[in-house]
Amino acid sequence: MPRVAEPIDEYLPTTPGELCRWMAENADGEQRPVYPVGGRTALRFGYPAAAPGITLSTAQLARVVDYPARDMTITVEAGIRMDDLAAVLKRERQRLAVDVAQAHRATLGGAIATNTSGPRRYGLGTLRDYVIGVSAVDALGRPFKAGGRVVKNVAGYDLCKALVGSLGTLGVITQATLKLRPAPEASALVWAAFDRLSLIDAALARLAVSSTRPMALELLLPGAATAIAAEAGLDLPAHRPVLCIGVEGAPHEVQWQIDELTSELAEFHPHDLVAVNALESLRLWFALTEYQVVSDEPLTFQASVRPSQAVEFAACADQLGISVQAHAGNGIVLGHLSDRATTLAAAHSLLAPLYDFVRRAHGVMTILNCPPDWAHGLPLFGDLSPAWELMRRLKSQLDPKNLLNPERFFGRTPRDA
Amino acid sequence: MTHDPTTSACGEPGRLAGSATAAPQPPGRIGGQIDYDKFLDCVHCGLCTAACPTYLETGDENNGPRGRIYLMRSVVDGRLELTPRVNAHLDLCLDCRSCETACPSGVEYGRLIEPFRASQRRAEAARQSARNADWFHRYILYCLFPYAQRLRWALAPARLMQQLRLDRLLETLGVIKILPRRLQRMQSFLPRLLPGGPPLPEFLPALGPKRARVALFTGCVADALFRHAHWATARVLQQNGCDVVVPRTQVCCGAIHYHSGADHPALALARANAAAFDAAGVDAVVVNVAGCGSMLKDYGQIARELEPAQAALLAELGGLADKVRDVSQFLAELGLIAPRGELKLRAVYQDACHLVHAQRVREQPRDLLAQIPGLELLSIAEPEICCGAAGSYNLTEPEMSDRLARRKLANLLAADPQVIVTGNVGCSMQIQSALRQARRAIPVVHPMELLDLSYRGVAFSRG
Amino acid sequence: MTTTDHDVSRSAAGVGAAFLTRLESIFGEHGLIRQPEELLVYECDGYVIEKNVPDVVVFPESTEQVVKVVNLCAEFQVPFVPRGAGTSLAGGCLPVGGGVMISLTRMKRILEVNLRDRYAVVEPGVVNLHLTQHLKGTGYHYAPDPSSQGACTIGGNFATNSGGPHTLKYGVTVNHVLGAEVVLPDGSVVQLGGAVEDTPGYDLTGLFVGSEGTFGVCTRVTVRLTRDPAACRTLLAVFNSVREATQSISQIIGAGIVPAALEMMDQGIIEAVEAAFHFGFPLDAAAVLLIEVDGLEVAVDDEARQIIAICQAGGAREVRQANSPRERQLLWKCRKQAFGAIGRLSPSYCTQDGVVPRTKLPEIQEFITAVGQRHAIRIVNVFHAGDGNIHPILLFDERDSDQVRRVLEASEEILLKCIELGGSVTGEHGIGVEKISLMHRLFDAHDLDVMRSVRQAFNPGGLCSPMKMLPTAGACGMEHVMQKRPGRRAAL
Ligand SMILES: Cc1cc2nc3c(=O)[nH]c(=O)nc-3n(C[C@H](O)[C@H](O)[C@H](O)COP(=O)(O)OP(=O)(O)OC[C@H]3O[C@@H](n4cnc5c(N)ncnc54)[C@H](O)[C@@H]3O)c2cc1C
Ligand code: SF4
Ligand code: SF4
Repeated sequence: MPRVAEPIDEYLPTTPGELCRWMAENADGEQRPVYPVGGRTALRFGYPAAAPGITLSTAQLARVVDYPARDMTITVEAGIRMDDLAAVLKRERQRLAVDVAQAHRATLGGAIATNTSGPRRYGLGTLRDYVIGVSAVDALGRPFKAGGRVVKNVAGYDLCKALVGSLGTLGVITQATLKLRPAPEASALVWAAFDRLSLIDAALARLAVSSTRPMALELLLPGAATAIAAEAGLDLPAHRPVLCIGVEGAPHEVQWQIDELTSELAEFHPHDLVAVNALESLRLWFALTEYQVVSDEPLTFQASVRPSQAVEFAACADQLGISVQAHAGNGIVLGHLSDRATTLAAAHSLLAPLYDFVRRAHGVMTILNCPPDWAHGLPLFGDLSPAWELMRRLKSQLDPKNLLNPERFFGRTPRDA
Repeated sequence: MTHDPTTSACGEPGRLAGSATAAPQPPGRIGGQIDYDKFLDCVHCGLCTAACPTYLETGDENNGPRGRIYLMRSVVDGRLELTPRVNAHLDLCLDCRSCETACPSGVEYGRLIEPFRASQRRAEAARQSARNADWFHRYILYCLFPYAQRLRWALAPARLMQQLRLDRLLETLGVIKILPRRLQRMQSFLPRLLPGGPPLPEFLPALGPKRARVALFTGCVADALFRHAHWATARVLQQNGCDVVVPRTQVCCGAIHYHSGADHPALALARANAAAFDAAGVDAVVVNVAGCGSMLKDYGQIARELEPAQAALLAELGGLADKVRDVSQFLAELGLIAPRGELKLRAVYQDACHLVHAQRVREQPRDLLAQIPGLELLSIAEPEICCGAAGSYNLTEPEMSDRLARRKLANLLAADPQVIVTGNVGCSMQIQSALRQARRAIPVVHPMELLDLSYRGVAFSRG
Repeated sequence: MTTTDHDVSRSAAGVGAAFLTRLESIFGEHGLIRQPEELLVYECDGYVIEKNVPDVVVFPESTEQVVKVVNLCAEFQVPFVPRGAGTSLAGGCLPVGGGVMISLTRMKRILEVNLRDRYAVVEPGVVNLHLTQHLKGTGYHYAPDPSSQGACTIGGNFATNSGGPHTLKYGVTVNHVLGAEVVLPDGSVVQLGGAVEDTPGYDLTGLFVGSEGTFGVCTRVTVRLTRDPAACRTLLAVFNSVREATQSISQIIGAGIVPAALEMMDQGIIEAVEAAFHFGFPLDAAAVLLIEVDGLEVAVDDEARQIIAICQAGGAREVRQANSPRERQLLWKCRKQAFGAIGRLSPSYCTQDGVVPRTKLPEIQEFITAVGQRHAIRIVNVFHAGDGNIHPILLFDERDSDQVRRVLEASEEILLKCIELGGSVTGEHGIGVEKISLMHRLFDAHDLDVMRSVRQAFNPGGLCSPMKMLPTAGACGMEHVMQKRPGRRAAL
């Protein structure tokens, strides 16, 4: 097929049916690459597009289809903004218990496609735990659905799982049904600064058997701590490593946990310990979520190691001048390279020790965001395991003509392969 | 060879295997006397499988309860021949009845395998002439075991050898190796034989206010090997305000006879017991050996199975069965008078299958032991899994028996106990033998022995 | 629907001698079964309506052995089916077309337990309850607790995405699986996910969970461990009408409480359970709810009080609280073994597994009652009510062929009603061979096509678990052979 250099067009379907027809026409006719977008907050994740094609925006597919609040589920179109969704749910004192950054722009479809998460994933899990049904359109224009509108269902393959984190490569998600949770009455964060990282490591081990049940265990090195405190507009001790622990529940439950955490942490001699409550806590949760995606840095990565290795990894990155936030309870470490890494080569040498670390630790490191011209010089998805072969097969089964985000996952591949 | 699954799946409509509607077979064939509805109670859910020791060890459905029921039923249905392989799977069953505890549908597995086996033995006996029948079964299990006196007499040289440490010498010299294989094995199972003391008197009076009148069942093997436990049991009962009667006319429970297909001797023993205990006029017949207890409790069922037409027999044997209580069950019902003597011991209680599964007596012995001041009851992994003793199983299926003994021992030792407590002779022997092989000197006692020590204020000694 | 008895016949050819010789060289005499009298017990699992004897059963003890047998099957084009404990209620282990059954029961080591990192690595044959017992005293447990947990394997749970009473709060198997090692039908060993979270690429682990053995053989599972709840309260609410009970359920959920478990039993079940366990259930009650809340000690009493208030306002005539761990255990035993106890009510029974949105419980309940009356079939109910997962149990006597027909019709009507109410035809037992014919009702041709494509990526030759889960497009239509007899007391 000839590759025509044409300007990128945008297409905004207003109904799923229209989208299907359009996709089918494209697949039968021009076969232009299709780049689905939602709120455009995470487009730099994955390999950049190699060929011009059509941007497909779900912005007009944003209806609430069905919200039986008493069933604690909601069915919405994928283009709904996360903020709007949250506002709908809030009226019924419910929520989707997943933190999504830039919620005023990000759409549900985009959050699903990128498997976005945040601090609360420690206590509440990630989107794969909440998406119970999806409707999508495949590259050939066939609408398909999987799962359903009930919270428990094992009929058929769970394609929801395939679509969560699929970066728009398997189908255009048009609609999703979500499992909801009651919104907690109260929440708070215990912010504790320590003299040394080793104390935080020990404190985390202690918290693994805490009598409390935290929702979030965040580790912040000073650079990140300072930025997050500033973003939250709070005057918090931030020039030492910080452990920030989130709790939720009924007000007395929250207070009990704060007291309990204060005494459990005492043996690790926190330098400062502040309980951030009420409205201030909302601002801090928000800042913790947003900092994950700060975009003025040249490169952002996410490392996955075992939780017990998170502190060591964070220390290693810190020494390299990388600002670090970790969802420590999950072993997820997010790093933002400083402006010093101005070239690909500089980034390479900076990241080398970290790649070594994850290799030794049987973890992985993913580049979430980098200048497009660096993308092919970096292993964006880490060392590729044998499972990637299977992923390629899955992609070519669902998108035999390789039309949907053709390069995103697998980099430049000959399109007619 | 090609094999196309899509086409081979359609095709000839065949038999519906194992159809539930298959007609039960006449009583003449193997398993024919089994109440066919008992097979149908099994819904094939498989919830019992992981409770079965032989399934755990082999992972083979043929060695699990669901599979065995399927095999037996298929034989009864005439769908399957009783080949040596099928036999081997059924023989490997311990009859521990762990599967009954696990089964939510209330399948009475024991009431399937036991009559099935009995009818197998009958069929074998009919085939074989007395001369070439298995001498081991005939003489050791049949003529010796059921008779306490003969057994004591037979064991006397062993006791003497042990006392003189000659057994070790013979073992070292390898003399034991020239004994027939199963006798060797029996020898290796004998626990350190204690001087059991004199026979129990016919009557032991209650101490303190009288609360009940009970009879004590003394059995055959138990009376030979564990008379000290009988004495302890009697004293504990006395302490709890019970007059204890020990009828002289009681006999072996007949389990060995019944299980080897000798129905008539079994029934004769049962009737003798019914007469002996009826005459004693007691509130309960107390048994301190799990195996005998469960046999006695099954008397009514067995009468129904062997002589369905005889209502009088049923009433006679069923009447006794209703009065039978395991000693811990009885004491728990009566309400234990708390013992005072402190026994500072870390103990594990090891469930005897014939108590926990066959009689569903699980908490009572634990509750009783917990009342001994200072005694710490430890819990172990897989408490419900058989130790591999299972009556004569340790002699007839030595390999599986040893595997299970090792498994049990590992679980017991993991708790690091100072004493192991169990309410059955067979289990006690099996565990002692496993301990000896592992060169671990942990005493194995009957729960009543510990209670007895506590009542008497005597410290526990390892002797 | 025909009432003739069919057998899912095996291939006339069976497997050849060369194949068997090669297989024997891999597994030896003790690792394989090929004698007809020993194969017989493998002809069905917990679903007894369809039967077929495999040609051979193998018992691998390592991933390498699984690879070898799978490769051999590929070479000789012999179908194979994995099997765990065989407690599937949907015929998932039925060896359609014969071939090799790969029994994972000897791969049952718990390879690693890491509490600090909250995971364990187990072989597929580990019995669900054994993992929980292994973790006892550590403060952690493995959350999915199917009623069959005493027997079913983690591999089987993985393959069927099992749920249980406590999945209301804690989620089903897929929410607790971090990764798996799988052997694909082409013999390749692939590690999906693992002990670290967010491994990049598609969530193949999530996709594999619930694939009912049609993607390959799982040889190792990395599961998430969950902290034990600090405290729990177990309540029993007694109602005079089923409607009041089901309405109270939606009130509880609607009030923003997520109980750890919320189960309903109706009068018929109460009667059977009481006969079996003598808990002291009031026999004249129309329904009881078994409700458990767990969490922090400071929170559970409040939640329990709220629930009691809701139930009382909703018409409960009595709400009791379990006062001791033993009482709690007995209550759960009553619930978990309820199905078994049904044997006491009727010679045969057939359990269905449908799901409706929880607010539709009163509606489906009334529908079930009406269906029972219309077909003159007694139906009793036990629901994982908090999840909207219903298990109506249809009582009948299989010797009466007209009753059998009515039971089948009633079952189908109930399941179709579940679909109509926005639900599903299976909440936990799976499609297997049993419900293949209903897949068309739940999904349209596109959906099924896409699912077939997905299977194609994993299992392109179709040798692994043929004829399961998805109706075959255009082929000989196994589905027509299905649904003839509900089987004697097909248990839950
Ligand atoms: C009384 C009873 C109660 C039950 N209660 C519940 C319940 O509460 N919740 C629930 O979810 N289910 C329940 N079930 C259904 C069943 O127990 C579950 O589906 C269970 O997960 C099956 O596990 P198993 O080991 O028996 O698997 P099997 O029955 O052996 O196999 C089930 C399916 O998984 C496949 N499979 C097994 N092992 C592997 C493997 N290693 N790799 C790939 N595929 C494999 C098989 O091919 C088959 O398709 C119940 C069943 C019974 C009989
Ligand atoms: S014996 Fe009981 S537990 Fe075992 S398969 Fe039969 S019904 Fe199920
Ligand atoms: S009696 Fe024991 S060995 Fe025999 S099938 Fe039952 S559980 Fe297994």
